[in-house]
Amino acid sequence: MTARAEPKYLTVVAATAALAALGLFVSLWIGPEGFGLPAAPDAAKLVFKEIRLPRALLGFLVGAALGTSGAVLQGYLRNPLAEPGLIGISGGASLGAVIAIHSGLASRVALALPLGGLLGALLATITIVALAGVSGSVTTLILAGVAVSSVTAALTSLALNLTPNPFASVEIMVWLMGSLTDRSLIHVYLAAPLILVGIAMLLTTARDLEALSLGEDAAHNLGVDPSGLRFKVVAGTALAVGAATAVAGGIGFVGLMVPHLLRGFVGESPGRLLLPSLFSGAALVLFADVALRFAAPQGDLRLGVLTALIGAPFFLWLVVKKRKELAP
Amino acid sequence: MTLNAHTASVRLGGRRVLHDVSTAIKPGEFVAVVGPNGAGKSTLLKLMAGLIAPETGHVSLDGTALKAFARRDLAKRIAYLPQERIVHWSLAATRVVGLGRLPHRSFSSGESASDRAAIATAMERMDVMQFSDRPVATLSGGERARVLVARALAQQAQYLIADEPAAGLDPAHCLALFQEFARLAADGHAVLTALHDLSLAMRFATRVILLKDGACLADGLPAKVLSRDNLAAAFSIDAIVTEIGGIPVVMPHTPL
Repeated sequence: MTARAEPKYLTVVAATAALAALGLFVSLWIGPEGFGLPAAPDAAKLVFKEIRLPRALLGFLVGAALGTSGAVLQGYLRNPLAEPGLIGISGGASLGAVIAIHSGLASRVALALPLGGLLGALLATITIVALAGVSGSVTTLILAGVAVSSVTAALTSLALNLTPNPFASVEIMVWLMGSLTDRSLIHVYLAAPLILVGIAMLLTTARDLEALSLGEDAAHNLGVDPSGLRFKVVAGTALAVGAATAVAGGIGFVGLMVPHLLRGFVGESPGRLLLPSLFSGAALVLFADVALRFAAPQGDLRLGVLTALIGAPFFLWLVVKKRKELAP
Repeated sequence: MTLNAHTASVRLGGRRVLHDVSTAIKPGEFVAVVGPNGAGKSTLLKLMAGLIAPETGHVSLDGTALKAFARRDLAKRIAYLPQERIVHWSLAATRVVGLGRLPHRSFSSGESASDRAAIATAMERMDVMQFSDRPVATLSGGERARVLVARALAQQAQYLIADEPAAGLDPAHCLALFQEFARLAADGHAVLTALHDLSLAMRFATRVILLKDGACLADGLPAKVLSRDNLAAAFSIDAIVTEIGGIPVVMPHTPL
């Protein structure tokens, strides 16, 4: 790899923010029937407020949460393969939601599904912190995350396995694939404060992540408080990704892909990666969700499936690119 | 104005690594810590940098315990260069050196003119200007080591603590590094460094601390500490301690 001209940081932030704004706009104006809103004013208002607006806002928030958290975790763990799912919080949120469906609570109480997800994320976070400690090493955090992920995955399978009703099984599987359809503004009100506080916490780690590029001892010397940083990383991810998963289900690859795509534009600086990842995560989820409206107007293709379909080839491309870089 | 360790003991993983060490470092001094592998050199340096807390005893800077300092204030007073030359991500050399300015600036405001001046001076001193835009991953081990020393210099702390900074440097850059450390000390900084080259310690340091098994075996003027008897006791070697053309030479030749 040779030195290459690096765009100005503010240009990168502005460009990604513009992309996210465009995604928001397109998401609000495109439906399965094409551009615009229904002609009748009442129907237009209804479609906009009940369908388009919650979907677009959630798309932005969920994408921003995944992008920011992915960038922060890659910087904190100093591992380009880290992603929000790695530390087990999204697994916990999924399990909570699945239990809400399995128990039948979700069909009786309106918000049982997202609330179950939030509870699951909270319990997973408590378990991870209890296992890994408040100021332990990075490795113990990964191990605790992998342990919690495995347990939640096993229990999710168990719930699916024991569901007597095939309709409930289908509902669980469909929910696990992740989606932004049929969400209301109530979902936005529920998730938005948590996601925004979580993202704000994650963004405050930028300086510490910069220092951490020199290893833990040098970062400590440069003024990083290791336990304070871990708190911000874990609590920020728990709030942002826990809430995002609770309302939208599992949407994979966004938190992994987005920081990778942007790293070259910010000179690999882990702190400067955060804001562009926030906006690009939002843009990616919004555009993927818009693409779904064309590809599957009936809503039978799920957002999480689409991001995975984009994500897997991206990985292949990454392998080829790395191989070329490392070639003599 | 001292960085002071008083009867400090450190236990790592159940093993006592430092035992009742007392020493003080003042501005104007260039102190070399020498001793066999596992003697506790790195631990002493981390202790003095405030990265690990003593189990008993205490470490203080100008009379205030290190743990009472805000981390960022301490970062402006003490710069620490770890032995491991870690740079995650392929950052450009200038940006790595710029990390030394983090304690002095807010992350969002960017680098000020004085930040840029400190970075440029540090890079010039370590002769790494020509690597400015090169990602550090493309530099050789010794070149990267110099970039990392420049990072510690850019921190502009009064106390500089460097763990084996000369390892892997070619002779010219190694000498330049020690001349720079001696110059810093003469300018009123305090330099504390661990190293294995006894001749360099003898020639450039104003004081040498000889460690063995976590205890301080000798602490004083280089010529006094690096005596044949002390070297035999600490390293189990027989050494020739002499001068060639006015330059001190310590040459271990036979294991005892």
